[in-house]
Amino acid sequence: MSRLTSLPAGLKADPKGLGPFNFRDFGAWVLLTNDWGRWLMLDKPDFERFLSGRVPESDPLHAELASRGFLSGRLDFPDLAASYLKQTGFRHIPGPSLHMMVVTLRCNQKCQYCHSSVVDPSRTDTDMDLETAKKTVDFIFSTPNPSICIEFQGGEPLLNWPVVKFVVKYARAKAKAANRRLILALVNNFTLMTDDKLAFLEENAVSICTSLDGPADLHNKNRPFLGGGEAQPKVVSWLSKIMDRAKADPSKRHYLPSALMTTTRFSLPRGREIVDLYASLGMDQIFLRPLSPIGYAKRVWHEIGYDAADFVRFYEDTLDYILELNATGKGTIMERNALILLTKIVKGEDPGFMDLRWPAGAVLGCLAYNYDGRIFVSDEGRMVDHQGDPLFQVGVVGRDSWHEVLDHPTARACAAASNLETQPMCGQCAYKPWCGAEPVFHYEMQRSVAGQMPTSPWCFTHMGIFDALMKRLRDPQARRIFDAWLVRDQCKWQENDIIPSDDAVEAAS
Amino acid sequence: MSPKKKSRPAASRKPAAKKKAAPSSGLVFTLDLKKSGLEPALGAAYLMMDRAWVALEGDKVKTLIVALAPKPGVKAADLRADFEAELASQRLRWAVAKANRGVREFVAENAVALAQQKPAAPAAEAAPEQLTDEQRSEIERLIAEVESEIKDMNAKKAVADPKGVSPSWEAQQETQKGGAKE
Repeated sequence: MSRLTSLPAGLKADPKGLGPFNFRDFGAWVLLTNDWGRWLMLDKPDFERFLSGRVPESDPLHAELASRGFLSGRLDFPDLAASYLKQTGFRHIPGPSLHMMVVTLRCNQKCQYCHSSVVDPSRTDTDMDLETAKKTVDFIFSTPNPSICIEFQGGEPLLNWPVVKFVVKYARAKAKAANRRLILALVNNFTLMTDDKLAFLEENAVSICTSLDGPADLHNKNRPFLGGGEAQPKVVSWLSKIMDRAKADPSKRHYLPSALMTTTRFSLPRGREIVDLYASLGMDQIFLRPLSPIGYAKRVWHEIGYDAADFVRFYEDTLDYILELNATGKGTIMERNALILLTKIVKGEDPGFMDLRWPAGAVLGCLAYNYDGRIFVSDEGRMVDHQGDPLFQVGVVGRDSWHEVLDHPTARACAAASNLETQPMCGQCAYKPWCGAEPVFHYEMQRSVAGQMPTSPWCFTHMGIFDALMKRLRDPQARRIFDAWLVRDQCKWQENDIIPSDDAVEAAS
Repeated sequence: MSPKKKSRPAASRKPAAKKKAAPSSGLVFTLDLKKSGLEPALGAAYLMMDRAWVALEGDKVKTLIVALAPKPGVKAADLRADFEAELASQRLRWAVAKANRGVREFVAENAVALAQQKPAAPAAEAAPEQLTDEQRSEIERLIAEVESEIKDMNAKKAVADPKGVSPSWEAQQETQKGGAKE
């Protein structure tokens, strides 16, 4: 079967009068979409009438098609332009918003799938030094986006805590001096967290994110502790502690921790258990993330990896369980992939998610800074370098200017390769308004930054998630739950008003 | 020289001479590009790549020779029908795209114009000189503090490892293996 789906056999189509559209056949019904993010689900007979120009003006369907830009003679240009801008506004914002600082490559865990290409805790030579940290912050503030999010990554960033503290203070001072909006986030495994560190992070409004793959045996198998011992109880303990603090003190509500879950082969049969754990901890969301064959995961793919179809089945089953919990009042947990895509599809807005946008986030939306000051198009690009291929390096802090980074041949190649208009299959896909292509992933998987979409696991996975959501959007009960999620959703983190201002941070500290 | 070879025009003889032999399980057919159009034919061939290995030859004006070899798990007998279905969809998709190219460009231009009406981003780059004296001295104090902390941290590492994180993964594994053997 065609990945894009085909026309019904023998259908006589008349393109005259049809506006620009892509379609996807779901059997009894067909999804229509257009560049401007407008969409419509048509029963098959209506789709056939639409294609053959047999929808009379007196038919309510005619008005429906016209209002969404599917009839070429009835286009409301200002409305469609506004809609297009609303969902692709990121293309008009200069410079990256997300800056990932790898303050050390050292880590005290040896995760099966580690994307981050970590090294042993004894390798202090992979710590970012103070001078590089300062130059990195200076470079970040030389980029033109009015909003800046600095995300501390590693390795385990708490192993280079003094530099984390310095960057927090220095970046806050620079943001205040330049009247720039600053968001700070720390990705850590909680095993080295202390009360003092937590107090500092709270006082300085640094949001905290961790990894939680599920029940102890699963988490510990995926993410073994160096030297033995169980990592999962520490994660659960700190998550619970921070959640309790937030509940007890409304001023700390802003810093509710989030957790990321990575799906390995061992996770596939355990979706319900994983969701139950997240729900029991009071987590607002769970992010069912597929494993990427990048970094160490590529080497052990035969042990922990799976086919894209396996992930899509896991996703659908687990999403249905989450919807069941919501429908029966047993839980209110939301799924993050769904939130990101529904924000695009239903609200027509951009949720600021770098992996699903075009051109890709690489350089235009995000940058990653290695401990040694080298700049990469993304954290995944940095990991490819760690495996010995520096293709995705686009500069060095203190040496190259923002304009040199932006104009780097690799930056331009990533932008061109991820333009879905020029991708032969993506340009015709019904999900084009909301999807994206990832140059680093495709370089790793298919040795091409453009990729080959008919055989791309990236495409298969995301198409599967889109399909799952579209099918459920037709179910009134699921739609009600999705709508309620969107009201609660906080996934617009970049422009989220609940993130405190710098003044509020100052007042709190 | 056989009559068949003698009657073949030069334009089609050249690609035929270069043509790679199709696998025994595959199929080869010729498309009339005046009927199908080049873009739809190329599009259909591209979409077949999840099911077949595809090789294309021809003059790209009049004819396209399509060779399809099924990938594992795909029946060769299904490939021709699959290709025809892809081609029919491609014809419509390309016809709609071409007919609406001007409209799409016009809306995109309007969106860009709309974006440019919005207030420009604030000037970037807060140079260190823009920091207040108070902020500069605070940062200098912070740098001194962090340097001291790093020095202390490194000194402590040399003598103590309270969290047990310094031994390498490999060393730990060796220790565990050794223990198990005993």
